[in-house]
Amino acid sequence: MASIIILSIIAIIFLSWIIGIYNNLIAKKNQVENTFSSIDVYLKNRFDLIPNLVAVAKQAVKSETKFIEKAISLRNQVSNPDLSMDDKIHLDNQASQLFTRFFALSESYPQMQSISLFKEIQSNLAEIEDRISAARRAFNSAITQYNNAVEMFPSNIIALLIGFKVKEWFEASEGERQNVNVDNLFEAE
Amino acid sequence: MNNNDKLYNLYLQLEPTIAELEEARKSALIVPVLLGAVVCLLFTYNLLSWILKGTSHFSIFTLIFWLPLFSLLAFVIFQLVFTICYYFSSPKEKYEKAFKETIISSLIENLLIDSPQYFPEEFLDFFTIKNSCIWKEFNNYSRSKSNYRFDRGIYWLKDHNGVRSGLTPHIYYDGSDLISGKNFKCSQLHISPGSGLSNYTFKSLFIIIDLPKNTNTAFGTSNNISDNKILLDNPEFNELFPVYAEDITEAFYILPSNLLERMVNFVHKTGRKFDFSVVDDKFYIAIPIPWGDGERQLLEPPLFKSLFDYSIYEEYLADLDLILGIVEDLKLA
Repeated sequence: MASIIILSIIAIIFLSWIIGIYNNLIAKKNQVENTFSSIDVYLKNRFDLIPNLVAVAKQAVKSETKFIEKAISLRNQVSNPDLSMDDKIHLDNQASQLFTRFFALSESYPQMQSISLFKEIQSNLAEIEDRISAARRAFNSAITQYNNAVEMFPSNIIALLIGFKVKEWFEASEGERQNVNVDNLFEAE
Repeated sequence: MNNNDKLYNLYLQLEPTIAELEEARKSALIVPVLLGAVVCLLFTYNLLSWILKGTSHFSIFTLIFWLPLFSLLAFVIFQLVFTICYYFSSPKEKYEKAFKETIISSLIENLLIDSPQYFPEEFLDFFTIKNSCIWKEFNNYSRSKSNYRFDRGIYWLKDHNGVRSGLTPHIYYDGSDLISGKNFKCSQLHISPGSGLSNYTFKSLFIIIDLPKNTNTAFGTSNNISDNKILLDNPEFNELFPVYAEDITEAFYILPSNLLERMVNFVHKTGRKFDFSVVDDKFYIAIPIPWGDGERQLLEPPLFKSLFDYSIYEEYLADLDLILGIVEDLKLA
């Protein structure tokens, strides 16, 4: 009888330990998803600025037809509700380049800077860029904790059993890492 | 011109004022020293007479036997009388007030960027500190100001008739040296939560900085704000500061990587670990300051040192650098 009680206690302790590891893994996975959804929100905020950018460009730099066409095309693409996260990240990289080109143009065409919408885009974009950067850091931090849990013993055994795999970091695109040559933007396309 | 040169020029300008304050310092010391010496002499004389009365053979050995005890007693009595007389004497209060209003004010106005205002006898409001959520000792206290009465450094919880009751919890809350800048405020605080709570007592340099970012989040080093401990992307920072937050992304937004690095550097530079919190658009920092016997107090006038000793002004400059350096270091203002 005593041995049954001891075995039951050991089983309960072991089970609690397993449940603890499992819950920890789930919490980390949810943290990754939450932080990823934040990035999504801020990417959408940045996409929302594209119509304003098109309006300013149409008003001030009509001669830059290639730029305006590119901006309109991007605006149409991001308005598609069925975009996957990969599509969004790809479009976000293009949006980054578009805004870089936009501000470069504003130096060549100073009349752009006098349009009130331009200042609005400038201030909103600065905050959104900060928030995207923070969300990326939060996501990568969550990913690090999640990946550590998935790879380290003993939680890696539970992770293997429930099918959790190592996730990729959110890295800045190659285009964002390089110093952008604004004159060549869109030229290759 | 760097701050050290500015300090030297200011010292030269303030010399006439320093001479007056030096006189005030000496007069603040005279009465307590004399009174201490007289009481000490009377006491030892009486004690000696009493001992000699009971001793049939006075010898040099008797004196040598009692000398260490006499010296110790005399020292203790002198200290006691001196401290009582000094702390309750009006020349001391006048000297301290005049020193802060002239010397410290001049240092702050002339050496600090944007010339913040200095109020020697004022301090940050208790309810502002409570809003920081840094100390869970205040959780049991009402958030409403109408439930309190501030009287002689103590917040008393009012009863039904608006009269304080000895049994209700109270908080001893005192402070000094309020500095009010363009977008920050700081002061020294001395807080002891009252009966029914822990006997936690702390003296702290408390700084409130207006955040330059729009946010309505809450996070900080106290699990009073949230149970969710988060890890930021700086391992050294994570070792020094546990951060609790519900919204991890907002915490990363308010604390960019370079700010984390500056906070770590601040701890390394000063050896002072601090608590912080962000609530809505305010960044709160509480740095514990030493206040035990023998510890030099921040911005307090010297007592046993001549005011012509230039090193004391360098120490004040270091104090101010510590306070304003935090705001500058954190680049929040």
